[in-house]
Formats: sequence, C-alpha cells, structure tokens
Amino acid sequence: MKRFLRSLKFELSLAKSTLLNVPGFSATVIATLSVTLGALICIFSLNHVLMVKSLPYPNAENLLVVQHAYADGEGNSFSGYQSAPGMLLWYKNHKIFEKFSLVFDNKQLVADHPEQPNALINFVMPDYFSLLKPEMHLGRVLNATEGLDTHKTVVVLSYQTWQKWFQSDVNIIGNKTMIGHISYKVIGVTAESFIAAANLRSLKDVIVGDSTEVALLLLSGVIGLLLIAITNVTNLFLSRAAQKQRTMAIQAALGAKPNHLFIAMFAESLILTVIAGILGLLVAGWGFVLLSELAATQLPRISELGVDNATLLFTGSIVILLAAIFAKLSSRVVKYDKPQAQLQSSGKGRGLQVSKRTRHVLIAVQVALATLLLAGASIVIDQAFETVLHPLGFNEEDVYYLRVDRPKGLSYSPESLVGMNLLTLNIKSELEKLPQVVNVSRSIKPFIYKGSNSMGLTDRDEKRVGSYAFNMVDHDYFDILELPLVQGRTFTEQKDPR
Amino acid sequence: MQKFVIAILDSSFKSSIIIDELSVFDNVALPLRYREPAMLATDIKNEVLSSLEKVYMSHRCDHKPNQLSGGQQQRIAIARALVGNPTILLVDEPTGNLDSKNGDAVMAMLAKLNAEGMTICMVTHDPRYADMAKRKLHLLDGLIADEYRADENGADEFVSNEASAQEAL
Repeated sequence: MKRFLRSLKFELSLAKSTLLNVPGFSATVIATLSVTLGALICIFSLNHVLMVKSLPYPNAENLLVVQHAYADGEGNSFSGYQSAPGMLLWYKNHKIFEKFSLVFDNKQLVADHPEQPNALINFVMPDYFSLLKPEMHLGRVLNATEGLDTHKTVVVLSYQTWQKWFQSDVNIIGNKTMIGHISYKVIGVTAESFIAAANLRSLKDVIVGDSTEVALLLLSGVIGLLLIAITNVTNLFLSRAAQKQRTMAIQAALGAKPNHLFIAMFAESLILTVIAGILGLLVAGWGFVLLSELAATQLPRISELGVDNATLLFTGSIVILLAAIFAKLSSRVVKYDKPQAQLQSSGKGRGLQVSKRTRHVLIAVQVALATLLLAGASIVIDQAFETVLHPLGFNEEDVYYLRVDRPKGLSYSPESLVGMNLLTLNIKSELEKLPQVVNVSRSIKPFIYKGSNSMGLTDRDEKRVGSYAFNMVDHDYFDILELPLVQGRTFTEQKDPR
Repeated sequence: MQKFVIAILDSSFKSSIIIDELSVFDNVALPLRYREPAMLATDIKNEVLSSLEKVYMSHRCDHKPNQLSGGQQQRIAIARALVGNPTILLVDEPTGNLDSKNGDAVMAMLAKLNAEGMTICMVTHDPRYADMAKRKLHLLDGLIADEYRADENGADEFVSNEASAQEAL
C-alpha cells in the first residue's frame, strides 16, 4: 500500500503536467463527468435522505404516529375520523407512550398582518417540543404550564415564517399576533434548521410515504445517464491511451509491470475525476436549490438536502471507482508480448488502433442505454400527459374562485352562518352587476378541493353503504361548471336566505 | 552465483526512447522506480545523480528532453542505461544519428566506462569507433566473418576466420 501510494504520488505529479498538455481532452472529460456526477450526487442525496437518513429529531426511530381509523367490519378501513373528544380521551388515558402530543394542522389567516397570509398552523402540546427538541433562534418553546386546559394562547414561529411574515423582527418575543380570531403571544422562533413535523405509523413512513418510488425512478434515470457518460469518457480515454502508447511502451521496456502502467493511467484519470467530483458537488448544490424550488410540495424532506458526510463519502467512492475503471480499460492497450514492435511502430502512423470490436461494443452500449432512458422517459411523459390532458368533466375556462372568510370576531354559530349567507349573497349580487361577470355561484368548498369533507350514507335499513365527499352549493353551480346531469334536475333558487 | 545486470542501449529508435513529458532526472530514474523490491527515494536520487555525473549531464537535471540537443539526449539515454549499475552494456549504434563532435563525446564516455571496468558490447558501422574496441567481430550478412583483438599497443591482431570465430562464440 505504501509503495502504491508512493508511486501514485510520483505519477500524480507527472500526470498534472501531461494533462496540461492536452487541455481539450481534460476539459471534455471534466465537463461531461461534472454535470453527470452533479445530477447523480443530487439524486443520491435525495434517496439517502428519504430512505436511509433518520428524521432530524432526537430518537427519531422511536417516534410514532397514532392515527384513528374506522373499520367497518367488512375489511374496509377509513382514516381521518379523529374527533376532538376521542383524541383527548387518548391523551389522558394512554399508557404505552412515554410522551404524547396531539397535533392538528390547519391553515389559518394571520389576521393582523397587512397581507393576511394563510399560514400553516400546527396546534400542539408542550410534549411536541420535548419529543422533537428543536433548537431555538429566539425565545423558548411551550412549557408544562402551557399544556392542556391552561387556556394560554402562545405561539412558536418557524424561522421561515418569522423571516417571511414578521420581517425577522428580533424584538418579536412577547408581541401578540392574531391567528384566525384569537390573539396569540409569540414566545419563540425555532432555529432555521428545525423542520416542523406537520403531519406526524412510524413517523418516517408517514412523512416519506410513497415518494421513495419517485426518488428511485430519478435515481435509475441518473444512473442511466452516468453509464452513457462513462461509455463516452471511456472512448476518450482509449484515444488518450493511443496517444500515450509510446510512453507506456517505453515504461514497459524499462521494466514497468502492468500495475505500474495502471497506476500511471489511474493518476491521470483520478485528477480528472476528482476535479469533476468537486465541480459535481457544486452542480449538485444548484440541483438542491432547483429541487426545492420545483418539488418541495411533491417530495418531502427536500429542505434536508445538502452536502453531508454521506454525500461526500459517496462522491469520493464514485470518483475513485470511475478513475479505476478508466485506468484499467486504457492501461490494457499495452501489449506485453510485443513491446519492441509497439515501440518501433510508434510515430509511423501505425500506432494503436482501438479494436473494431471495442468500438462496436461502446456504440451498442450507448445506443442501448439511450433507448432505455428514452423509453422510460416516454412512459413517464405519457402518464403525465394523460393526467394533464384528461378532461376534467366540467368547464373550468374563465372560472375564478373567490374565498370569503368569516369576519374577525365572529365565532361559529347558527347566527354566524346566516350572517355569512347574507354576506356572500350580497357579494354575489355586487359581482353580478359587473359587466365582465356572466354568472356567480356560491359553494362551501372550491370546485376542486383536496381533502375530505365526507359523510357516511346509510340505506333505508340503517345499513352503511359508504361515505361520500360532499360540497354545499347553490343553484348556479351546475350552470357555471356545465356539469351534465344524468337524471332529474338541479336546485331551484332559495328565496329566503334563512 | 554472480549476478549480471545487462543494460541495453538501442539507438535504432534513439531519442524516441526518452519520454518528453518527464524531466531529465525522472527519465533516468524511471528503471529504478520499477525495481522490486522498491528503492528508497534517497537511493534513487543518489544513483541518478551519479549516473548523470558520468555522462556530464548533472547540471541538466530539471530540463525537459526537448530542451536538449541530440547528443545530450543520447547521453541521457546512456545515463539511464547506466543507472542500474549494469555489469554489461549492450550498445547498438550509439553514434548513429550524431554529428562527429557529439559522436566523439559519446565514445569518449563509453571508453571511460570501459576503463572503469564495465564490459561494453557495441554494434557500429563506423570503423573509427570500432577501432576503439579491444575485441572486434566483423559481421557479414548476419554471420561472423573474422575476429581481431587489440594487442598491448592497440594494434589489431588477426585471431580467426569465420568458422573458428563461430566456434569460439
């Protein structure tokens, strides 16, 4: 090993000067590999975060999510049926868990902010913080005196929310802010690195879900890309070997064994792959930014992507492996059985020709890999097109959605419902007066709504027949959306708003 | 059993056996780097410097071959042949592509090495340089035609004809 390192050191210093003499070759290899390695490192990091890395909380493997599911006894189970009293009952009576926090996530208006942003709010208990142990940028987390039934309205802001909506105000601790209709006192801001477990089975399963499939698909794509790049670069190295053939033949004539020639080629390829690896890390850095811009809502834990020890170890291994592959392939060109012939043929136009077979294999591999990638990509694109171009079943052109929130201070009651009804009726009639508005319809939920507002349906014998998502709409709803009715008619207008 | 180290200096591909990317020092050191067991870096350095000293090229250690003249390049090739302290040196047309001045210098160097005890076996077409040998074998169409040995005064003395020379070998 010591000998290997010593000859490598000598060969590296030699390779450094020889590579400067072939800038075109060096630049092409580095450019090809750095872009490919960048993509590979980026997707490796994604796969590592999703599949291997534990969640960024202490004792992450011991964190569990308990969800209520309703089983109908016929093998069907329905989730998302938690009721507040049921959850409180769990909370008070649980004996299995060391710590336990109820979590309810919801979007609410930050009412006293000029822009009234709709922020994601997690309603949690003090144990939420003792489980996840966030580092704090400012202030503190909830303490035991702010638990259940203490009726203390305090809020901990995430670093991102604090930056975006509270102008990074360092004096924010102790200030009040209006979330929904309730005034909360700000007691802390979490550190930038803390990621709120918004949707806390194991916790990891819940967070990662089936996005591993997407990550694996991406990984197989970049590996295909890498293999194409490897065949390309192998071709370049074979040309380089042809160029270096004379030098290697002299070395062989002076006593160099195959391993000496391997080390000599390895030194050259190592310099190139290491530079490509470093540039690849930079490319991956941009990739992380791109992924978080494009896929933060589709893929979980994107904010955890970055160059960590695992990424560096992976990059280091792949860089050495690639260097070894290129060195092995190109040092094979020296024919030990005919050293004299090789030396004398040099410089007379009869230098090494890469064999036809090798070239054919390289071309076949490239074509096969490219075809495979194209086929894979076309399947994915085909599915995406089908999703995008699939008719929605209703008219969505020139249809706009306006959301009206319950006014400040108005709590949920039969009277407030009437008030809202009157308010929205007024808005509707005002809108209808506008020349550019053709028709207005009111509904409880938007036309396309992700989430469940469902109710169980039973037949005449009180037997459950399933649960159905529902929406409350007015008589204009079907006209605007041009929803065809199979049978019967739509609603007629209700004259009395009460 | 005595161990002979034979170095071969083949001028049929002359300066082409020097690697252009390597410095003079590294070119000469090359055979030592491939030795088994491995030599210490200081030993390599000493051997290379003493070898370059013998061909009067130690002041050109850091030069690249393309900064040297043809004669100097040939001396580097000789230095590399000498670096392993060979017992016998086989030399093929060492002056083949050199002008007479450089050729004389190379031959003077070989004569000095021979005087120091090294056995040198040289192939040449140049009778002037052939006359410097202590024993001469004339070859004709791949066969030995006759053999001469130098007497004490340096004059050639006929030894044998073709048949007896073949036997002697």
